[in-house]
Amino acid sequence: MDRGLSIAAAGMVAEQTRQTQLANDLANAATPGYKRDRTTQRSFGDLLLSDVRTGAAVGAVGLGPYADATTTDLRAQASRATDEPLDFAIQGDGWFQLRTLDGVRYTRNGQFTASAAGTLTDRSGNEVLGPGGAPVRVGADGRVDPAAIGAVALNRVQKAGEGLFTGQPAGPAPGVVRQGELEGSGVDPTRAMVEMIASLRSFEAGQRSISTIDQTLGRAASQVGNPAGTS
Amino acid sequence: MLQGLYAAAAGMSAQQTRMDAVSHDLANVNTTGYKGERVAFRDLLYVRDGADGVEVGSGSAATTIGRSRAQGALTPTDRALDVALAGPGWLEVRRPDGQDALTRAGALQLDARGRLTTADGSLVAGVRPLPAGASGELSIGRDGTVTTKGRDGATVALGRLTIVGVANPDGLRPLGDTQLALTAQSGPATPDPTTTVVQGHLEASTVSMADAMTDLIESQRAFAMASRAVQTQDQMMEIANGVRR
Repeated sequence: MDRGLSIAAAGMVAEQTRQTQLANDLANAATPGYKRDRTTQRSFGDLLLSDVRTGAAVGAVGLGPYADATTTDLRAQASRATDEPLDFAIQGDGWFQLRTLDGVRYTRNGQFTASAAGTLTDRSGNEVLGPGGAPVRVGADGRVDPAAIGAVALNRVQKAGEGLFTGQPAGPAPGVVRQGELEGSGVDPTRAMVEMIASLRSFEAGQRSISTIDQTLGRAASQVGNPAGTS
Repeated sequence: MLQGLYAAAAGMSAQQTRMDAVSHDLANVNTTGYKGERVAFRDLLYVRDGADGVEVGSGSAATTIGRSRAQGALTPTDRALDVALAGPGWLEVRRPDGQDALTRAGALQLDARGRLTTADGSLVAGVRPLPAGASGELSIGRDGTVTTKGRDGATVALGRLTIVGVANPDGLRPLGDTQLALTAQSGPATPDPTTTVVQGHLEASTVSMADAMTDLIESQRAFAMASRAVQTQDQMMEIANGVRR
């Protein structure tokens, strides 16, 4: 039927995805080492309109946007001091290595604790690995030398949920591990709120377009063809 | 559609957990030997949303991962029976019900039978009762050795405070009265030579009023933002419902 209806609906669906992502970002505004997501929107391929009688091109018409891919903003964030001996942050680039049930995973959230066996673990019990790939031990004084943890550089980083990331290790990272600090969340609350409002209005505009097109179609169905003054 | 609603709600609930922990800390800002709670945040699972490569998260969760391991400030009390521990160790005591427990609250006292006990009446392990006629003035060394003066003025050794360490203090089970019990998760208690005993002092709570208030404000703002996200999701559903009138 009218192309405009599906264009407006596609826009609404794309804004829904963006809104869900913003809700997730805002929920993680205080999660240490959280990396903010962004979804890029792309337009479906444009159609070239042409005059059916002459064959002359009239111009292009878009078919509306769709959510294309999620990218994660991996930039390092500022750390804040907690003075907790088992809190760590990496200043600069680099990742902590964790041994999980699914293999080695990476994180920037250095809120660690100790296991009964005396090794450094994350809150789920995954062991933190040192530069050589061996678990890091907590000293008798309850402390860990930050140099024993070591940061690793990663390529092709992807979010795996639960604060973990996957990727291809690429040797030692330039970042420095610091004790008694935690990396802040990558969410900028002001920006997220503004984007949320913008997205909401864009969603609303999509709905208005659908209503308007609906009214136009309604008129076309009920009024066109009626003799003047009988509608 | 509803996923965003639940993601935002999960964020609110995570902040609620943190606020509960901070409130508990604030209530214990003057509790001897109290260690602040550590709250860990994490994001949750990511699921595909529509096109390939588009992933949206499900919010955040907070869990308490045990207690702070920071050393509390040693505050002088000039009371001979107050001892503070400098280092990660614990003082071993036997509760009135016979159970062994660990504590860092070192406000000790002597009971009617001359035994060294904690404020709630738990016996301090490793120290013998005062002999008859002893002065009752105890001297406690940095290694925990307890001595007193006998009837004739000679030094009488009474034993030593049992200072122990555990591999994972977060695995200890709280018994109340700032006492904790060993569990399989904490690992066994082993002698801890790195911790020293400071007589005439008490260890202050590790909770800093300024830090706790800052946390509270941050938590409240994060809670408000997540609740705004819930509202927006609600508005979006209202708008979507308005497509067909």
